[in-house]
Amino acid sequence: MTATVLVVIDSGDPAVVDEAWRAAVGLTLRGARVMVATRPGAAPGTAAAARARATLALFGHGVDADADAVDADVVEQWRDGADRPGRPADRADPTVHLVRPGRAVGALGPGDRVLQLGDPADVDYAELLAAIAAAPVRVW
Amino acid sequence: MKRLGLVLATADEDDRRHLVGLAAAAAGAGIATRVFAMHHGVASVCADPAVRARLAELGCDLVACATSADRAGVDLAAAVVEAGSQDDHAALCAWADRVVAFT
Repeated sequence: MTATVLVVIDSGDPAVVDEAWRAAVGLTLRGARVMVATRPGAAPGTAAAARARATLALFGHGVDADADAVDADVVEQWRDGADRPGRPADRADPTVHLVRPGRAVGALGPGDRVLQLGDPADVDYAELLAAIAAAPVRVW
Repeated sequence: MKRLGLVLATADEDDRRHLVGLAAAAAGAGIATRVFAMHHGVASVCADPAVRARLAELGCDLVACATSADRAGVDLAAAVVEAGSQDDHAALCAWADRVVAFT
C-alpha cells in the first residue's frame, strides 16, 4: 500500500517554510504520496519553496491540501507555535495529538486523542508510546 | 507497532528529551527505532553528546541531513553522526509503522 505523508506548513519563518517544502520533495523518494497543506497566515517561502512546489505538482503530488481533511500515515507539522485559525477536522481516521506546553491543537476530529507533552521528567513515555501505536501522530 | 521513526527538526531541548524518552520506551518494548535529524535538529543533536550517547546505547540509528549540516557549519564526522540525505528521511517514513515528527 502506498503511504500518504502530509506536510503541514504552519510557520511565519520563511526559512522553516523552505525547509518544509524541501522535506516534502524528499519524502517522495521512496514512493509515498505526499500532500502539502499551508495554513492561512503562514509565511510564503522563497524561490526555493516555489521550485519545490512546482516539482511536487509536476509529479502529481498535492500542493494545496487541506490540513484538517487529509488522512495520512505520517504527518509532519512544521510550526512556529503561533495560534493560526483552524476549523473542525473532517478526517475519517483518528489521530493522536501531542501538544507542547503553551500550544494548542488546531483542529480535532472524531475519535482523536490529545496528550499534553509537559516537562520530559514527568512524561510516562511507555504510556505515550502505547497511545502513539494506536493512530497517526501530529505534534503541535 | 514494531518500528518507530522519529524526526527532529528543532533546536528545542524538550523535543530532544521527548525523542530520547520515546526511544527508550520503544527499546524497552522491543520496538526498533530510527532517528532522522534535519534543519535545526542537526546542530542541536550534534551539540548534545548525551543525547547521541543515549541513542547509541539504545541501539537507535541516527542519520542527519548533510545539507542541513553544511548550512549550519556542522561537522557530522567530528560528531560521529552518520551523514544522510532526504532519501533517508523518506526511507525512515517508509520503514516505520509510526512516525513522530518534532518539526
